[in-house]
Amino acid sequence: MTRDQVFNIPELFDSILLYLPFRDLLLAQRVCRHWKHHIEASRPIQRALFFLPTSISPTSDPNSIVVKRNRLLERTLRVFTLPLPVWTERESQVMIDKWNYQLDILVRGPPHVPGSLSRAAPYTPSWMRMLLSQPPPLKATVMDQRLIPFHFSPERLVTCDLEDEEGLRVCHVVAVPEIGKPWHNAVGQL
Amino acid sequence: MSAATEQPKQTLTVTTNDNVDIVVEREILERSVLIKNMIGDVGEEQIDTAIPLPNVNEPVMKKVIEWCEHHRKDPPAPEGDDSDSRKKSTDIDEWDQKFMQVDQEMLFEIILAANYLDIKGLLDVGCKTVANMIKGKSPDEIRKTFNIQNDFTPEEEDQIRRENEWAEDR
Repeated sequence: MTRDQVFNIPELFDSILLYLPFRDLLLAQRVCRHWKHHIEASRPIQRALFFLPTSISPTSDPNSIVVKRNRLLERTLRVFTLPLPVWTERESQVMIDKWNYQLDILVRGPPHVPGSLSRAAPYTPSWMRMLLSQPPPLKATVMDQRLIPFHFSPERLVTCDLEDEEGLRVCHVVAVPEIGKPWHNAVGQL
Repeated sequence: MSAATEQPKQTLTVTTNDNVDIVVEREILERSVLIKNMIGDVGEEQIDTAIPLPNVNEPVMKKVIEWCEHHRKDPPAPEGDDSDSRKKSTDIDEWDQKFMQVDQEMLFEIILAANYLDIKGLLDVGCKTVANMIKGKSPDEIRKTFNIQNDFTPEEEDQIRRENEWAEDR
C-alpha cells in the first residue's frame, strides 16, 4: 500500500510526524510497533520530544542562542518554574545570552501525577527523561522546596556534560540527593 | 498577466509509468528539482526527447502538474538544513486544502511523487495534510484512520500508555 511506502521512508515519516504538536507526537508511540520504533529511532523526533539535546544553532548574533522551553512539562507537571528573567508566560522560545545560559529551577513538590512516583512501578514515566529546555543548559541552580518547606534550601548547582548526549533532565532535578553527594548522582532516587 | 510580456512558452513532454505522454510548460515542470536537474544534465539540444518518469502514473502526475501550475510564481524553497528546527504551523492555504481533498491513496501517491520529483512545497503540503489527520486523535482513532493493525501485546501497550499518560488530556 502507498500509505506503508510513505511511512516506511524514514525521512518522509519524520516530515509528517514533526508537524505534530508535542503531545500528539508523544502519544503517537501507542499506535503500533512501527510508529513506536520510528519515533524512538529518529533523532529529529527525539529532539523535538526533549529526549535528545539539540545542538546550539548559530544565530545572527554570535553571543546569543535561541532557547526553547518544555511547555508540556511545565504545564502538565507544575513542578518547576524556570524564572529566566526574559521569559514571559506565553513565550515558548527566547533569545538569550549564550555565555550566561543557566536555568534557575524551583522544585515545588512532587509532580502531580498519582502513582507514578512509586519505585515499585514497572515503568518510568517519560517525563523523567525529558530535558527542561532545548538546547539544555550547561548549568542550573536548583532550589528544592521539598527539603525545607516555605524556605529556599541552600542552592545546589546541577551540572551536566553535554558531550555524552546528556543534558539537564527532570530526573536530575527531582531526585533527592543523599547528604554530601552531588545532585547529578542522585538520579532515580525519588 | 500582461500581454506585453507574453512569450511563446517552451513545452516539454514527460512519459509517465503507465506510458502516457503529457505535454507541460517548461517553467511549470521546473518546479521539480529532479526534472530541472535532468534538463540541465541532458543539455538544451536534447530537450525535445520525452522525459521518462518511471515512478509516477498519469493521474498522479496530472495532480502534480495542477499544483505546480497554481504555484508557478512561488519563490523557490530556501536552501539550508531546517531538519533540526521544529516546524511549527500546519496551516495550509485554502487552495492547497481543496487540492488535497482526495482519497487517501491519492494523497500518499502525491507525497511519494513530490518526494521523487523533489518538489518541496508540494511535499510539505502533503505531509501537513497527513499530520492534520493525526492531530488530536487517540491512538485507536489514528489506527482507524489509516487502517493500521495494533500489533502490541496488551502488556506492551499498557506500558507505553502508563509511561505517557501524564501527557494525556485530563
